[in-house]
Amino acid sequence: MRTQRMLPRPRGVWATGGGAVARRRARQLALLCCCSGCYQGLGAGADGSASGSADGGDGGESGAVDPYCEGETLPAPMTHFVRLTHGQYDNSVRDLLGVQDHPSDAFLADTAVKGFTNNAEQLVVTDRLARDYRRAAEAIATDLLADAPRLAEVVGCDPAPDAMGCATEFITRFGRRAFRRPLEQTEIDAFVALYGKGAGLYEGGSDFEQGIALVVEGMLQSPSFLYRVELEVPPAGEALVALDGYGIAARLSYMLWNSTPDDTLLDAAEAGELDTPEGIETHARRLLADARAADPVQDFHAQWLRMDRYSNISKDPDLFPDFGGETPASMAAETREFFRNVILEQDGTFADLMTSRTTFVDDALARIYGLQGDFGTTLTQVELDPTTRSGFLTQPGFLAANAYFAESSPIHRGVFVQRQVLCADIPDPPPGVDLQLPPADENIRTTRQRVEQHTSPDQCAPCHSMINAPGYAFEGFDAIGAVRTMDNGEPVDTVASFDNPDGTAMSFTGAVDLIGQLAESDTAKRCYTTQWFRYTAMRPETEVDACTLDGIHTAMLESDYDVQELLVALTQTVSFRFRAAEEGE
Amino acid sequence: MKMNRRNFLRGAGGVAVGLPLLESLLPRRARAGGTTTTPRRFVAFCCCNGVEITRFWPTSPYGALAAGGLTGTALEPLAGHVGKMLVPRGIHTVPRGFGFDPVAGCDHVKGAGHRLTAQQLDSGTLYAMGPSLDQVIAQQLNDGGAPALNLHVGYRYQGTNGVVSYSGANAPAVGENNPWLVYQDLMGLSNLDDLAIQRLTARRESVLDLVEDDFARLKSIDLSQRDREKLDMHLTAIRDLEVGMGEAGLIPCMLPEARVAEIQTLEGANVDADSEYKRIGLMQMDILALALACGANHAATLMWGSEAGGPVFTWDGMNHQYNHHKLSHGNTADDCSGSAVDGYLDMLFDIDRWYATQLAYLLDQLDGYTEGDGTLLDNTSVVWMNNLSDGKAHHFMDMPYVMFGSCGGYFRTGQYIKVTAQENTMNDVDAPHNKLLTTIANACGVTEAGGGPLSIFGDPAYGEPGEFDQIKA
Repeated sequence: MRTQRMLPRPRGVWATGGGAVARRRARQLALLCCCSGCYQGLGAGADGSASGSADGGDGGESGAVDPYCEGETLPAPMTHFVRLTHGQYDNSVRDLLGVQDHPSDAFLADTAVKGFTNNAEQLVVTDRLARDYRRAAEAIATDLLADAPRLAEVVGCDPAPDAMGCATEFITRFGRRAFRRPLEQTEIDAFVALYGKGAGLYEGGSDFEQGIALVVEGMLQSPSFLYRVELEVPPAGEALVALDGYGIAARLSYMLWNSTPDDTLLDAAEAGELDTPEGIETHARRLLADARAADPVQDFHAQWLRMDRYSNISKDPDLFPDFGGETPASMAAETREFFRNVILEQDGTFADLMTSRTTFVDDALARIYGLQGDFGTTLTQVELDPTTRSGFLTQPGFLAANAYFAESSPIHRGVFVQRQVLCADIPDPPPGVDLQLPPADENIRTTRQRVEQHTSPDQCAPCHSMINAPGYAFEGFDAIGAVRTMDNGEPVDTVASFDNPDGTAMSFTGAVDLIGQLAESDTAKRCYTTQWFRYTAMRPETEVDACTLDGIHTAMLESDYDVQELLVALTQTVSFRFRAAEEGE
Repeated sequence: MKMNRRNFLRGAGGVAVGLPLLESLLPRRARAGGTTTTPRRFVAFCCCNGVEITRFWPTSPYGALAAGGLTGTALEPLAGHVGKMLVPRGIHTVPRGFGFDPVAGCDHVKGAGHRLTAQQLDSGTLYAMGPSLDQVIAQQLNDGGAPALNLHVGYRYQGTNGVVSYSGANAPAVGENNPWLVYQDLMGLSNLDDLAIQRLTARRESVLDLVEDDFARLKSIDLSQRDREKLDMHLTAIRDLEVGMGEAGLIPCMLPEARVAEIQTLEGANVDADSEYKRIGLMQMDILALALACGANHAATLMWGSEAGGPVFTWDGMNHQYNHHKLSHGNTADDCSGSAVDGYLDMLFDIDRWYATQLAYLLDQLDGYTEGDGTLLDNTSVVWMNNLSDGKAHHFMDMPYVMFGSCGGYFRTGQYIKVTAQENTMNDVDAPHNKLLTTIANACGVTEAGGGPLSIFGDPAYGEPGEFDQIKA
């Protein structure tokens, strides 16, 4: 674990010429058109390996330099209206109004693109979501009205001497928080008018309080609250435009808190502190030190590990009598706490995520880990046996979710390692393939032998030569993630090797050995950066991002791949601080 | 992406002229364009995971259907409605998935995404690339183009496996599985007292004025096409809220008080739970029939369970240990890695018959509302459909469609009709299901943008133009 340091600073200054930009954009469109295919089963693949290289630039007009990119760089086109994710909605109303439940539980769910549900293009308001937003806003306003102490705290001024003055003050101050920018005078006037209409429109509360409730009800349905609005458009002839401080503040807080900016951050925006990479870095570090940073850290890893499937884990009750109805929830809680602890409390590195033997167990998990003692129903920190366990890939949640009802599944575990950890491009099995392993018999006894038999045809080899080996490494774990040495009466065999697409090979004796090598793997580290980029930029990477990703990767290699440093680095890029021109603007 | 669904397929008149019109004893509704007629409706009764196909079809030869021809089949519980039943045989799904047409998605998402759209799926999101039949009918027939009524029973998977309806490409319309929310939407404000209605309406109007001003300001800026569409989509969704479903039609949109009280007990209940499956299903069907009868909507979907999922049936004589999807594969595990389930075909048969019994309940409700010389059912096309035929084999040929209601005299009911020209209905290459969707669209009076009957529903790259003339009266 490491102490805080300032980030490596820019090394190359390359700018971009209009011709190169146009050429690159044309190429990018062509790529989009070719992009098609079929994926199923385990879900979205992760083909985020380094692809393409940035052109050398010539000339330049914007002066925007990506500190991590030695070539020219330009952000991919981004919508001007990034709708809050459902989690961000809940956190925002919590931080703005003290709403403690999760209104978005009743919202229409968003869909996943490239493994993440926060794709900015896909975050739209359609179907019942407008109804859901209205219903939530009405309930939040009505609840607030019924909770006088909370309402008084939210209002923050005394209406007794001058109700209209206090309402105007509230609208100006609260509006700045809710819309993440100062309100224009016309907006203040509109909300003051709305305030004036509130009296008599609710069952309880004073006229003043009813006016405030109506303002809240209105603001929560305004596009300025529901979307992060970035209206900057590059001037004619320019490729880039810098976001203003408020836009940066919103990007920063929704990236590092999944919630709305606090007053400190908005004040910093107003003071111009977020106009420089250094100012952004200072506030990024401040945000990461706050408890709210746990939300995106946990949400990212939950989506990366596809933890939404954990709640559906079911196991054969005859074979696993200890696996109860609450066990999947314990598994998810352990993994979430693990990532929060390693990254935010221990200031850990990518290697720490892979190799830490410290974890958090309750009774259900302790039984799977084979730990003695009484752990109750809340999580307790424990140290695991370093010869059998290593980081999140040997936690019961991952092992059980990537296993069958009664048996381990080397294929599921191997596919996860290749796609999600190494960003290898592994297609789904072709249609019509029988996915069922052959039954065991006298000659083919273990799961590994059955997988070998099942995937032995030549046409399976291109993918399964990469999938099976990392899967076999985990054969020392059964379907619920407990250590085992025997499989169907035979000793488990966890020794395997495979060739990487880049020509290097990995050979290992088992899971701990494999994970130790992944912890040091450049490919795995760059893949981790790519996954974080997808999540924080709210879009899949494009060809133009390769230079930035390569640059961050190189800089992180020099700083031990500290995860907090990686998050700070992602706030320093041109992609984060600027918008590019788009067609049709 | 097709964003502006108000303009999509919207015809000038909204109702095809020249259909046989039933005399109505009730007041006729004025429609856009001035045509008046008894409204036509469409209901998709959607089940998942295929059927026990060997005991599904009528045992009688093609031709007139009688109750005796249903004995011993999954359709037997529907014998009471045999006169209004139409069984079209030998129809396959398009795009032909399952290894035939090179389109995205696994078998279940294809079955879910294709069945009401006849469109391929987006390779990224796996959502269908065009609108579904219910929404197209709703856009043309509902006041203000309000969206279809999309209902769900039980747990719904996120993504394609939990949805059958689409308002446009990549725009899934997820079914509501909480009957109390559905009923509140249907009632609008009519369950509140006058003062509360005045208050809430005033608040909503004030907020809407302000929000529309915000949108107008944002739209005055020079935006990309995609961003403009994004804002339009949001605005359309808001305005759909304002159309208001209550008090729109022939009878009050209201259920008996005792029934409302039962439905209200679901507020905050676990509507996903298998234990509520049957009870909620009945409530949803009551509300669905009411919504059609009172003119609140002309198109509805009712999706039971999720593709590749479904409840564990432990009621009405069933005592299953495994969910519907596992049983459809005769296996103790969803991924077929478990052991065989003895007698699974009988269990599937019981499930099919149970769904037939629920459908009979819905038909009873629809038949209970008098309209003109007939009933609501006579002016409706109800289609029982599935994503697969043989669930274990994941077959998409010889799909189990069963239709009810003549839709105002458009269909030949009381018939068992082979629509494929092939002898073997599993070889039904000449009968793509988009033609069935086209036929129903025209039965309901959907028109081309320039007027006249719809020529083809769905993606023309996979389907075929025209209707199944054999099933028309």
